[in-house]
Amino acid sequence: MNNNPLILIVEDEGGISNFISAILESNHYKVIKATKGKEAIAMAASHGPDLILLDLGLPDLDGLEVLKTIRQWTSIPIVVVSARGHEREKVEALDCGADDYITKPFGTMELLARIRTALRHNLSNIMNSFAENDKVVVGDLTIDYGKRRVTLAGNEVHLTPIEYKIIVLLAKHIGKVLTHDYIMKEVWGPYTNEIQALRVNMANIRRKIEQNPGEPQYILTEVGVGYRMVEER
Amino acid sequence: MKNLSLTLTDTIKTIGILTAATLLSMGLRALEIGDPNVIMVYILSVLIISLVTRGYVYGVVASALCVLLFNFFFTYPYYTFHAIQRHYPITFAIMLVVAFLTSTLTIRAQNQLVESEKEKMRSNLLRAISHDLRTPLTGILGASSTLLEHVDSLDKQTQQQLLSNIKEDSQWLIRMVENLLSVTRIKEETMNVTKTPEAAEEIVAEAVHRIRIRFPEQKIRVRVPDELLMVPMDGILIEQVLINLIENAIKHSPENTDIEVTLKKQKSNAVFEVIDSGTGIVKQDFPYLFASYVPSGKRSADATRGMGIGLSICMSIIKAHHGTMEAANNETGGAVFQFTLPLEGKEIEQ
Repeated sequence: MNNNPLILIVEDEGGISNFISAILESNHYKVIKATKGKEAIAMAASHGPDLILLDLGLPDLDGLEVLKTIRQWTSIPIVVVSARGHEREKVEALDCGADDYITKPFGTMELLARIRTALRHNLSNIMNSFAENDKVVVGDLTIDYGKRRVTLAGNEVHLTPIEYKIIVLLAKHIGKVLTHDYIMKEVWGPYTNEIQALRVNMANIRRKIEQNPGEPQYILTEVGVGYRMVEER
Repeated sequence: MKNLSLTLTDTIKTIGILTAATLLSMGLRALEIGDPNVIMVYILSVLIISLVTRGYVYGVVASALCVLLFNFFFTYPYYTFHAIQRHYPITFAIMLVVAFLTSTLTIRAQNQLVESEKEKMRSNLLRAISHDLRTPLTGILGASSTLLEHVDSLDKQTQQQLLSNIKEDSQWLIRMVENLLSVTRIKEETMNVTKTPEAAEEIVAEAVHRIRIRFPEQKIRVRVPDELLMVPMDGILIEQVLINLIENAIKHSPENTDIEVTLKKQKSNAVFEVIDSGTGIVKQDFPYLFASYVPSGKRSADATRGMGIGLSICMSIIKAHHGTMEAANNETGGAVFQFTLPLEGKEIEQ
């Protein structure tokens, strides 16, 4: 029981933090709550939670400030809670080191899935430093970094070097949303704005790996934010 | 500023009215009716010009032209811009001021009319929304207080029922509020949106993905073209439009029927279609399909609550993108909602 992950909920609305903690506790997580930014920073330092669920709209501090402050000393997963329509805020939070975001209003299933993914990520980061995983498998899709090969149901998928770079990047961060800026920087290098090229490449990748590019199964679009490779199918 | 814009038709109107005023004044002079009436005719012409043209420019220009025309045609010596008699400069000055004031006041009155028209639209929308919001709120309040006060006397099934009612009503409220919020992304002044080039297929996919989370059982067929269509748009808003249309289609079609979402290219437009095989659109609903406010009694009996506002919001979003939107009934039954957005490059960047 005591080994269950400890989650810090930072949320100023009592009603919302009540229902989140009820859901988490009934799924055997341990929960602590903060209602203000300064309190959250103090609790993050003193309790050392395994994950922080951070609402960006706080009464005393800007949520992004809280995020940046906590990131100065720890890399524990932080999932940001933000409203729909605030895409810029989400991108900023991701660029400031948030691991993921969840859009208000969210369902309980979605919340639990995000928390599971974020926790697993942290775990797999530790594992990665031991032995580099050289393969990612999602459904019929296999991305093998070791052999530099991508296969779909056993058949090799022929990708251009840029397409391969993009798909490997997404696979290495599987389950996590990557912002357009991050992908562009990783693939084309800094100081470039290849957003058009990214979209064209993504369309090509989808035509090679997805059955129906209008209903992608492997790489999802987060409108206004970026792309995410799905982990749980 | 719209007030400074010049259009060809307004220019022709102005010239026409001034010519007519001049000819009429010449007629009056031929009948030996004096200068004061000529001045009145010109001032009247300025008033008419202010009424029929848009913006301040024409009224002001017409005021100045009137004085010049009066000077040229009707003051001695005729057909020159000289004025010999001493009182003429004063006449000109007063005429200019009166004409100028007439035009500005007329235009201001016109603007106020437009404002009050907008105000009326806003209050109609507000009334419709408040009604739509009150219904689910009443449901939530009723169900939750029943649960709190009578938790011991209610059987498990009734409790479940009340709880799921609360859930459904709040989901409906959230969608409503999201729709309303999306309207605030349209800039009021220009009725425009901030556009960035988006891959149309990604927006379609995302909208369908969101719908699938809410309606896991619903069969949806999605078709996108081989060619990648880049469309300048506010992606969040267009996604909202698609979600509204798909949801509307689900609501109006029987269970276990397919819904089709297609994207295609037609000339220089991207065409989005949501097709259902439901009951189709009742004829008497057509005129009010995209209206935010339906006069009472004009709505058909089976109109689903609030959808009027959903569709009218779709319409304003598409209009703000300079696109078109229409609805029709399929020959095989069911409704087709279609909207088009101009593809990249067609539009001149603002």
